[in-house]
Amino acid sequence: MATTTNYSWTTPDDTALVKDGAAAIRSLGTAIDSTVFTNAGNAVAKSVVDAKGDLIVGTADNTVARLASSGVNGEVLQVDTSTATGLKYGAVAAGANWSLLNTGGTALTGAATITVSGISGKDKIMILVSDGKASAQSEIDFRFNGDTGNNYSGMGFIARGSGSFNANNFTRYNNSNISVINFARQSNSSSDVVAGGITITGCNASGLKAIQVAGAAQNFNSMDSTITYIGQGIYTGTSTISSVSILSSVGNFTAGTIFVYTSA
Amino acid sequence: MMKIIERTFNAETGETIDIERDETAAEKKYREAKAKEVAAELAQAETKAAERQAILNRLGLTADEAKLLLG
Repeated sequence: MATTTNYSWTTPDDTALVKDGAAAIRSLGTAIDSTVFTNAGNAVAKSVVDAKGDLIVGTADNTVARLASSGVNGEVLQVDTSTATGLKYGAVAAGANWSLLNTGGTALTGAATITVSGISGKDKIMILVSDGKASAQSEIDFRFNGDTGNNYSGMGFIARGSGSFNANNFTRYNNSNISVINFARQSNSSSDVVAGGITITGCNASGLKAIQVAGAAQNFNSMDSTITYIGQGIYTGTSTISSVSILSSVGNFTAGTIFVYTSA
Repeated sequence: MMKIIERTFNAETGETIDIERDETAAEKKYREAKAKEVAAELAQAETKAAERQAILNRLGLTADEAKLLLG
């Protein structure tokens, strides 16, 4: 007996003598009816969706539902087990969105203390120092809000100048309640540079401000004064931070740039 | 008395203000303490280097030869 290609419905052979046409047609019709009924039951009706952006989502075994678009540009699909579909549209959680406060940076020249003020409403501050130069052996430190009180503590490790590796050149520091955050120390030459970064969080609240420091100073020759501070610390001043200062303990800064980035 | 120049850049207004003032006692103390610290570190390094050289001289070795020997 011949059958159709896709669903194998029975049809008369080309050579068959159709003795009972009605029965043959009924048989084929029943097969078609059965297949179409089954397929229709398994299909997802296009009437589930109603509007542009609608999605068809599963809500249980063999069950679908419509998830309407939020219609908000930029929103993304997120898992939310509390909704009927287990999904929802929402905005992408904002990460730290840093913006440069002092456009182009502020030159490190002509002063021993260089302050960038005008900071407000920002929880995080990141300061980058590029190619800073001061007098030989000058200690480079940071202060906030011009606060000269003993409200800064820092701990971490110090890398000292050395012509070759020596474990003794890596020591810890633990400076509690001093008046600055240590950053780096200029080498024996005023031609060398200091660089690095410092981040402060909690700047827009009255509580402790957490600090991370990664200073760097050029020239690790033997018997050099170079020091870099790599560590963390806190600032206990209760005011929100509105200004940051970089200080040279010996002479004015002669070169370099300080960039101050802030984030909510 | 050493003079300190303070430069403040106000990021809100774009204004830069320089103030020249005398170094405070605390700043002077900090600067001198750091200078003393550096001097002590350098003196210690020089002493160590001299002692190292004296040993090398006694052994009749160059610094490179000693490094090779200990490496």
